[in-house]
Amino acid sequence: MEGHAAELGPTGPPPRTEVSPPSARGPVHPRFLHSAALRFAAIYALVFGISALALALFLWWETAGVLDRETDQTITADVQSLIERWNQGGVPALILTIDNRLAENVDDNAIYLLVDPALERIAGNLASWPDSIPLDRTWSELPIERAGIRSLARVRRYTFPDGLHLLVGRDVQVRAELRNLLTTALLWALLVVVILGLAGAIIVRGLFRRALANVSTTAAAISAGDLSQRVRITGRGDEFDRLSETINEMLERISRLMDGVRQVSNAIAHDLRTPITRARTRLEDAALHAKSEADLQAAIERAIADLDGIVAVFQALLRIAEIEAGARRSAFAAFDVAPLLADLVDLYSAVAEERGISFLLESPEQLPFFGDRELIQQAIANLVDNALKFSPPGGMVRLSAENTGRTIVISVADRGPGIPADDRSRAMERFFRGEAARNTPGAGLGLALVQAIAQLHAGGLSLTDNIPGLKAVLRLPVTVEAVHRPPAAAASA
Amino acid sequence: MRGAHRIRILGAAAAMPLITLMLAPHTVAQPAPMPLLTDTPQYCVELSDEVEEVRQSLVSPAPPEVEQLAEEGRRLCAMGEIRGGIVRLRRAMVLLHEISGQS
Repeated sequence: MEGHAAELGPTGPPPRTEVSPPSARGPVHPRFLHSAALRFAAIYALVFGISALALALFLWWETAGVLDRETDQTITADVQSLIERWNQGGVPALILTIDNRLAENVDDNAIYLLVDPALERIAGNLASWPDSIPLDRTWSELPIERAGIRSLARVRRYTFPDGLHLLVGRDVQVRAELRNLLTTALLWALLVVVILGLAGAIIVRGLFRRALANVSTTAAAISAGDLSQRVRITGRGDEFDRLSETINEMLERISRLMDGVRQVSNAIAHDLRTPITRARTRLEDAALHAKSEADLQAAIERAIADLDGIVAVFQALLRIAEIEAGARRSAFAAFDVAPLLADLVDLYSAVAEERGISFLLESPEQLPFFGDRELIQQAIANLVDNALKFSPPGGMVRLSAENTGRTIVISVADRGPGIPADDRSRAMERFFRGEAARNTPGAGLGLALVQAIAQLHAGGLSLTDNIPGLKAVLRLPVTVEAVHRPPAAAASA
Repeated sequence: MRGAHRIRILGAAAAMPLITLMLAPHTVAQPAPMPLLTDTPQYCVELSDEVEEVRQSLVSPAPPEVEQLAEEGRRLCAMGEIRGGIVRLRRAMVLLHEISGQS
């Protein structure tokens, strides 16, 4: 048993688990990619970068883009106007219009060139057809020189049906310079964004690691055997705090369960050792000292009785475990508790009468309930059995029940020695035996079973002082099924 | 700490092309620029003659503003301020066309 307890205890190192080689687990990634903190930081930097890029593109579209589109629209309108002039007056009208437009070009930014099919100049302010502009391209950027100063023009080509080629454009040097300025500014801004993104990513990564370090440190301490460690709660009430609270609740529950397992293990070891040792001693004594077959037979029968008691204890433990696991919930049905109480009174009246104990029942005519009839009967029987067992001759046991609307309250009160207030909270633990119960038969599992049944039905068991004696109160919540499915209907179904 | 160092290295690697792009001189090979014929002294003379021709074609005398612009244009062209002179002559031409259009 001690070895078993040691296995369950928190002192041993955690078992090593076999780790398959990386190749067997999938593609191999660089080690730093396995860091969730780094991934979060990278995602932050990526989202930040994409947002900044989208903003830059929007700014570009709304500034340089607008200027470019305006220029293109102006040139296109100019070309359309010249085409109309050609349609109306032919080439002479076209030449005159170009000359007039150049003569009235106060903005000093217009570029025109009209050439014949052999690319010989007819009109305009360019000397010849630029080599850099192919005849199959509509839009082009054309470097120009104005009074010795290099500039840039945006031009559009159009070819008339008679083979004349027209080039219309605008000097966009100022806009190009503005665009360059904007481009440079945006690139610098992107550099700042990259730096800020990386700085933010490092901060996010640090915050993430710091938040997880708290949980990780606690988990490592618990893994090393210190179950008392809890995750520190910062008090900010954020997601990490809620996670910490959940983990702490989980740890509390695990701790309670482990305490329970340890306590049950110890109790089993302690309570079963005595009858097993006793049975062994009897058999040994009979084997060594029995003088007749009758002596041997008697020793064997006593040993069998001891072992039957042990089997009964194990059966009770298994039943409690089964009830606690909720496996019996499928047997729930609507039934009336009142006749069940009457049956119990009939059953135990003879025992009570034999011991000179008054056994009273106070119950309404009907107590509709939804649950496991057999278990409820066993729970109440356990309470009545305990009350009768500990009541002195001439005493009184009162079994009463009432329906408060939401709960059926069943209480069993006796005038026995009761349970000291300090022991009452532990009286429902498995194998607990109070001082008064030392000399009475039993394994200390009765109240544990009753409590398990009560909890299965979402109820509870409480023990109070009956002054004198003990009052056990079983509270069983009435569910909707009990109200809508009366026992008679359930029985006929 | 090693992770932070890696982030710094990755950041520097990411920023390098950007810095290079910003600091690199714009030395992309471009075709030779086309000179404009409307920035020449010759065009200044031609435009001045056109202005005079249009002015004389008017029924009524041209307003003094036109005379002033045309005169300034010619003077600037003579001084070598070709673009400034041409701009004034063009303004004079615009005014003359407006007057001739109204009449």
